[in-house]
Amino acid sequence: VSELDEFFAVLAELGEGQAETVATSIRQPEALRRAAHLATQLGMDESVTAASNRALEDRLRAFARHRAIVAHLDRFPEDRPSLAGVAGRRVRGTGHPAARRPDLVADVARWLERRRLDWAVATDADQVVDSVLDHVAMLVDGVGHRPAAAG
Amino acid sequence: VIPVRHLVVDNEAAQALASTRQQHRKRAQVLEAVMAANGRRVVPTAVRVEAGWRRRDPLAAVANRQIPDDDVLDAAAADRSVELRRAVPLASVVDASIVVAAERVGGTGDVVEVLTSDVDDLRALAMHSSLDIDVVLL
Repeated sequence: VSELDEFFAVLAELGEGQAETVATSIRQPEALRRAAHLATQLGMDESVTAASNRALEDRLRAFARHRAIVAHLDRFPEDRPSLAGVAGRRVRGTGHPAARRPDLVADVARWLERRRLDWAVATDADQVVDSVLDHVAMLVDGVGHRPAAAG
Repeated sequence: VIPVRHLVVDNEAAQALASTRQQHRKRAQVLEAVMAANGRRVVPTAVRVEAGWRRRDPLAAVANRQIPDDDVLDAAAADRSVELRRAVPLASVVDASIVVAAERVGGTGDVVEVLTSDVDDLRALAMHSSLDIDVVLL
């Protein structure tokens, strides 16, 4: 079993609530610790421990998602989707303005894809997809200009 | 606002992820759906049984990574599946479990994509759900 698969197996345990708890001692910036205590008192989370665990789990899951896509496209490069395809699919069947304007999604995605050739394997791939959709929403509202057709 | 999109896969999608062929149109479509899903990616355990997808098998690595979460057919899911099958008698147990998984994964305002080769039965089942379920043909 590869390290990556072991990582996914442990994450699955976490999702099933099977993970045991252990006490740890983590050195962290004093200001971060105080900010976490104050944010907890303001209602961010039920405790600093819960906030820390949630933040770390979110980061681990985002990392896992990224590594899964990188590993998949490394093995099967033909499976690489287009940015327009992913962006259009994200809002399919919703009331988002981009769902009604596949032509604009295609134009904006093509423009962005030329500047971000690595978007599919980038750590911010989700944000790249969302930026297409936000840009299309702005265009539908009459803000900004439609990008020129791809050359 | 960009909605949260979850993904629930059926047997056909599971089989596509298990393929080791370099080119596979359906596997590429599953990956597009995975990348479009900014929420959870789930397989009902009944689908895993039908697809022969055992999490611990080395060949399941690709599928495990892309669809990391199970929706377990527990007592509550069984009861809801029965309700759905009463409404759509032609639907299979697995089909009903897919819609139940969609209902459990989706929150208010979310969209759940069901990626399937059996759109007719799943659309019929989805009509009996209050959730916004987008049934997509694989």
